[in-house]
Amino acid sequence: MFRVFLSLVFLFVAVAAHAQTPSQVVKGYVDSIISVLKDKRLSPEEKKKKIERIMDGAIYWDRVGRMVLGIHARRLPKKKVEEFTQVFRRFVAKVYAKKFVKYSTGNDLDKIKVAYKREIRGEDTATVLMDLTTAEGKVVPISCKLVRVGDRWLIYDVYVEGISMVNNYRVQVNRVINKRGFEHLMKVLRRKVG
Amino acid sequence: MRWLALLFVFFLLAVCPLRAGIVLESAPAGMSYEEELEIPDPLEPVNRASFSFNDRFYYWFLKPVGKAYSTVVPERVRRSADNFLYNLMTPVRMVNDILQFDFKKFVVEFARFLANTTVGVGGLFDVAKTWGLPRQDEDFGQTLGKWGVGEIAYVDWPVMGPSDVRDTAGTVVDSFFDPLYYVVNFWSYVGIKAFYEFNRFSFNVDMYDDIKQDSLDPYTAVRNMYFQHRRYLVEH
Repeated sequence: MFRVFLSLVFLFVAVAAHAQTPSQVVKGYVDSIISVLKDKRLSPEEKKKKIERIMDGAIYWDRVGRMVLGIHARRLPKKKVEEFTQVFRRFVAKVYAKKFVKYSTGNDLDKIKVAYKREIRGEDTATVLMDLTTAEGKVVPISCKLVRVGDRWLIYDVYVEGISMVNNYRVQVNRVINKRGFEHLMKVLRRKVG
Repeated sequence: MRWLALLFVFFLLAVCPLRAGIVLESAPAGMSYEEELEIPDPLEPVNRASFSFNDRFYYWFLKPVGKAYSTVVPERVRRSADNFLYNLMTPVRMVNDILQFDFKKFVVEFARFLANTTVGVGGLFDVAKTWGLPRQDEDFGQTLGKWGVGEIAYVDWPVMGPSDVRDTAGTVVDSFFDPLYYVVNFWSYVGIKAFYEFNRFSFNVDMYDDIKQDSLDPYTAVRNMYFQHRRYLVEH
């Protein structure tokens, strides 16, 4: 009897987790990142590692990789696309973790406010619009684009003050591939990842 | 010089509704794998040379001087200087609000000016921000954008950095709306503007360094960010 009850509880928890709206999903990730940044017991390196892990699970990397490669995703062999996605994943997670940790040092994180303004839902896609108020009181509009993958919502692009992460890297990747080739791009990325 | 810029703006307005369709023909960002932003950059070789110059100018001059300035001058003082000059430039933004038929922004701008000039001691303190009236930047480049004028061409100016033909003309036209221009002489005005930009730069001296480190092709990254951000401002 107890087992049946326990299974029902687990089932309820699982359904509740999957029934999360895109805004709740984004809020969950934002809250996790802020709590890592606020954790005084962690060193900057530990914070970066934890944030990289959070980002790793929040983003739909396969899609991001192909979107960033743009037209080259169709021209390159599947293996090369996967190789790019793996290295790009590490690169982006590292870049953003570094940005978060750098900003959090010397700024009062309690002053940072995130206001969730609106959620635009498509059939399998969603956009979560929010305003981030920085410690200095500047309002930064951010929007997160999400896609439903199975029963989860995953992020595939982030816009900060109208600047899309995917678009920005796509034009750069396109430029590097056209000028120097795919192997050079991989060399640059690997150097940046370290 | 300024009158030439004004004439140029009239020329843009006459010619650009035709061009705008070409230049602004960019796919909305979405799930597409292959969409590209249309970035007009016919001057790319010159712009890249200017970008290289600005890169050196940043590392050899701006960054060290900016760091020294932000170490010596407390942040509170720099914020007040920024607030004061920003408040003085309110008429520029108010005129652009009207030209864009955005009366809500006009009222907010006016309310901010009243609050910051009185309670904010002549604009030294941005009290309006704490009362829920944040800054809203409007300029003539955005006004032209709202009127359908395209960017024409990307321009990376030496020292001043990324811009485009439309926004450069807009900056010159904005000085017509700036009361400060009529109070001080030309070179003092240029000096005050340069100080205003440098003081703003001091709040985030490392920004360019970070962009460079996080980019795969810094020139393309900066140009793309400039266009995406300006197009966002025109739309909002």
